Amino acid sequence: MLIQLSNIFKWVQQGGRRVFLLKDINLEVEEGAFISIMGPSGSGKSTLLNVIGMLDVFDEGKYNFMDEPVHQLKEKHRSALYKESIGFVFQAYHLIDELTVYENLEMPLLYKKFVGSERKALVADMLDRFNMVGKKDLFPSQLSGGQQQLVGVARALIGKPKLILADEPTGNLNSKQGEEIMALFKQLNKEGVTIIQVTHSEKNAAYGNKVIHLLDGRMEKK
Amino acid sequence: MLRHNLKIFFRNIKNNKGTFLINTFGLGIGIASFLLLALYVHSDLTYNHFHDNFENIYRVRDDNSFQTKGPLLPKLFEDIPEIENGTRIFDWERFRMSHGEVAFQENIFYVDEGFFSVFTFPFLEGSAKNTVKDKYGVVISSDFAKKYFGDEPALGKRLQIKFEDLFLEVKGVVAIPANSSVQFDIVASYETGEEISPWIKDIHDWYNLFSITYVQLKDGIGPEVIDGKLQQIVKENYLPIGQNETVINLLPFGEYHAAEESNQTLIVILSIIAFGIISIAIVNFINLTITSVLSRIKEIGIKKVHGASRSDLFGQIMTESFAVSFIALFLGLGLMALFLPTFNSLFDTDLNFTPFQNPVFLWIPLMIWAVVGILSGLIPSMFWAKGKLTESLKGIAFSGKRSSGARHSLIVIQFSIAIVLISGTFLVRKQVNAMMEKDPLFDTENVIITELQPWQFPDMEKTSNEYKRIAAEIEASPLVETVSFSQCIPGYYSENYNVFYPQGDNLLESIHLRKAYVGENYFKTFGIQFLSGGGFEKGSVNYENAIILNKTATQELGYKAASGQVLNETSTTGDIRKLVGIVDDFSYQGVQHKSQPLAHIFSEQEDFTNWGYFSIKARKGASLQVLDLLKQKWGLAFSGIEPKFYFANDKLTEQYKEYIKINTLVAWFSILAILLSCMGLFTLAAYAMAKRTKEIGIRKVNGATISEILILLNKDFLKWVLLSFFIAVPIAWYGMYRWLEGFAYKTTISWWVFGLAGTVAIGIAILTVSWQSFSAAIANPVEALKEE
Repeated sequence: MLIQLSNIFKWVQQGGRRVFLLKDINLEVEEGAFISIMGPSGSGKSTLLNVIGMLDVFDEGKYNFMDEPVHQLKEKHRSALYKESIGFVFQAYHLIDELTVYENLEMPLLYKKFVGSERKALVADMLDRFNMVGKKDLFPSQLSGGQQQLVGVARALIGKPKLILADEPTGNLNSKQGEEIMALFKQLNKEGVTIIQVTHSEKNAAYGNKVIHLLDGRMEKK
Repeated sequence: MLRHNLKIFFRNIKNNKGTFLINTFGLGIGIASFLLLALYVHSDLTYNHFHDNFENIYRVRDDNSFQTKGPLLPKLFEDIPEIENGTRIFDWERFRMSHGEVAFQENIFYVDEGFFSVFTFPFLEGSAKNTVKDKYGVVISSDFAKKYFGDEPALGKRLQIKFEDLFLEVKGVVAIPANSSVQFDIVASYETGEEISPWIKDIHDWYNLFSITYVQLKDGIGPEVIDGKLQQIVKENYLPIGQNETVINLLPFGEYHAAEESNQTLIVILSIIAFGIISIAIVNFINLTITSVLSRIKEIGIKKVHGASRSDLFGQIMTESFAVSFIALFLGLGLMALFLPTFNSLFDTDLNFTPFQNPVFLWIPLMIWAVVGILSGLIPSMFWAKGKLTESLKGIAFSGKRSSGARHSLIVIQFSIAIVLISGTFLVRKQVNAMMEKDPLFDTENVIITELQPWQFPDMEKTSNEYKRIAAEIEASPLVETVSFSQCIPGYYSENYNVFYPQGDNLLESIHLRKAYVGENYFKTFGIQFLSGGGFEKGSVNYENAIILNKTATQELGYKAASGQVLNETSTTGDIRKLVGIVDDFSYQGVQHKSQPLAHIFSEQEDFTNWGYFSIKARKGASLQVLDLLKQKWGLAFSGIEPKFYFANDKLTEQYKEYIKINTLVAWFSILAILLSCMGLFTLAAYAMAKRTKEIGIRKVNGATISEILILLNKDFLKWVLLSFFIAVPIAWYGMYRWLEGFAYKTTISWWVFGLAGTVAIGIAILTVSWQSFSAAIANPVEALKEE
């Protein structure tokens, strides 16, 4: 079992009252799954994704990631864990503007302490695979949105993660670019990468093999 | 990783050139100013330190007088074995010296054999061993050598004394550091001096104070050890023997400069300015670095998500802050090197930046680099560490409202410093003006002075006759009221003091009077008013032994009017001086000094080359014509010799030069301070406006006008500038009060000094903030609201 969430609660204090962002979330994700999280604005989709990605903490409940109890881990171990196993894709791509395509791809490897030759090889592989060799020296501002997101996905993949978390990866793209990205996800999933995506679109959700609906921080029972 | 960090750093610079330039130049200017002032202060604080025996050298004082009696040093050597070495300096001799065509009047020092072992001046030519010992052998300064011999070696060259068949031979050339209290052009031995001017022997007795004495004590011996022996010497030798109450005391040479030569208030002021400017600059730099780093919070978020650890990020920001501060430091050193010559010529200094000979100046820049680098790296990295990852991905730097207090306190500090400096500039200016505008109580407009400089002429008798003839001819001109010869002129009275004993019942048993020898019509020519009596007019009355005192002297003596009171000079049975007149306390010296009791003694000279100055009082409005007349007559008599003519107030004005210098200095640095403060304000405002874009948009959508928004935005900053005004005023007032204490004649500290400084600061602050707030206020609210 890759992910096991049981009775997860997350809240904020607002005017002396607790406002729940996540309420009693129970979720199990097997390796190789492709899950879509759907729900209206403010339903807690991104919060849930951030909790899974360990970017955000929760207030109550248990979270096991690859049988490691995340809720008991220290910050340091937690970040080591997601560094190792999770790749992130964002709606706004979140590429570093000052770095070229090549350097953006290389950046996570620097922090994973890969040596120069390894980094070169890995980045070259990735550029090949995504057909971006010709664009490696361009800066993000010189790319279209779809190309930027392609770099975003490539960057998420470069550390060979078990899990890809994508927060509305096609939200800023036109439909054609969106379809390309979704096709890519489908392909990746076939190759064995677990994917969890947040999306508004039924069409995109259909690429996955399971859909979770959220409303007011609660999973809707089907 | 370092490469990656530097890459990001340089690309960021490229994208934010404006901020980067303001930031590095701001700090660069701060560093340059700090270093310049530090050089100045350092040179002042290390005055005389270059002498090897520096700590054992003492200057001998007779009570408070630095002039000592001639036979004292030989007696000291004889009686006190703790004295290892010593030298006298006799600096009263001036005469013409020439080498070929090159001729100047020179002030030659006669010194004892110990001079070059007490004072270890570095020799450029010759050596300390065999220098002044030889008769007619001299040691000269490198400036002197350049003046006479250009770039040729000076060793062995000969200098003619006056127009006589006597020559001095150069035995050595020394480089005299600028921060040396003992400055000379040329020195010879006492023996040589007594040969050239036999009268020197006569005044080296147990009465006259004509020499300066330095002693070097043995290691580990303090002046208190030999104090008893010193006073014994007074008792046994000083005249009148057994009754003399003089106390000989030794002033450590290390304290001499601070106590006697340097303006310590100025040094303190400069140090404060130096630290003020560098603090403003550093604070700005840190502030700006934080601001620009915070705008990159998203980048940090992305990196964190992709596995950057805290130490990775810390490394990145430290690399950046050290890199920027290094560039700023480099700029600062460049700017300093660029402005050092200007500073030197403006302030008459000879400062050099030699960090490798003077490690202090290696450490100061490195320290600044370290402090700035660490602070501007640590503070933002603290923000980063605290920031929530999910928020930083959205580009939100801080949740919550705090931190504005801390940032605004920086404005308060900066503007307080700036306002203190600006008001200081105004006050110094006001004081200089007050001194210059104070009625000197003599005629400054119609009196033309000729500095006679008879040393230029070989034939004294002929010269004397020419002086006499020119004076008579000028006096006969209808354009001229009177003329006068004198030894001194207002603005230049020699430091010649003697004791006078008034006869009869008096407030005082004796009085020290500053003496001046003047010829007939001196007071008339200079338009100096008599308060009582009168005298020294041209005419039949014989003024031999007559004396004219100033108001201060008669007040101390308790004389109400001049009615023939008699004083004896030197001793109760000495020369008789009869008081014929009392003059007002005219400004015979700069009014920063207290008026001393002053005695004018009437003098007549057969030989007119004994006079120092020839003064002419022109009829009202005729001064320029008289000057032409004088030039014409002078040119006919002494063709080829450039005379020195000036108006009566020129010498007096020279006394205020130092303060004008200070004024320029403070003015420059207050401009810098306000400029740097505004840089800081500008970026802070930019940051604040960016944060409030949404608020401004909402207000505009709801009907706020541009001016209402401007007021809203500016108010926030101006209240802090206003606060700094109230902090600055008492500090500035206290500083001014202390500075003015050094002046006998002082201006009042008016409220407008502060008012004007505050207005200037606030005005500039309004302009600075408005620049930012205006563009925020006129922005299209739709754009602003879209952001969310």
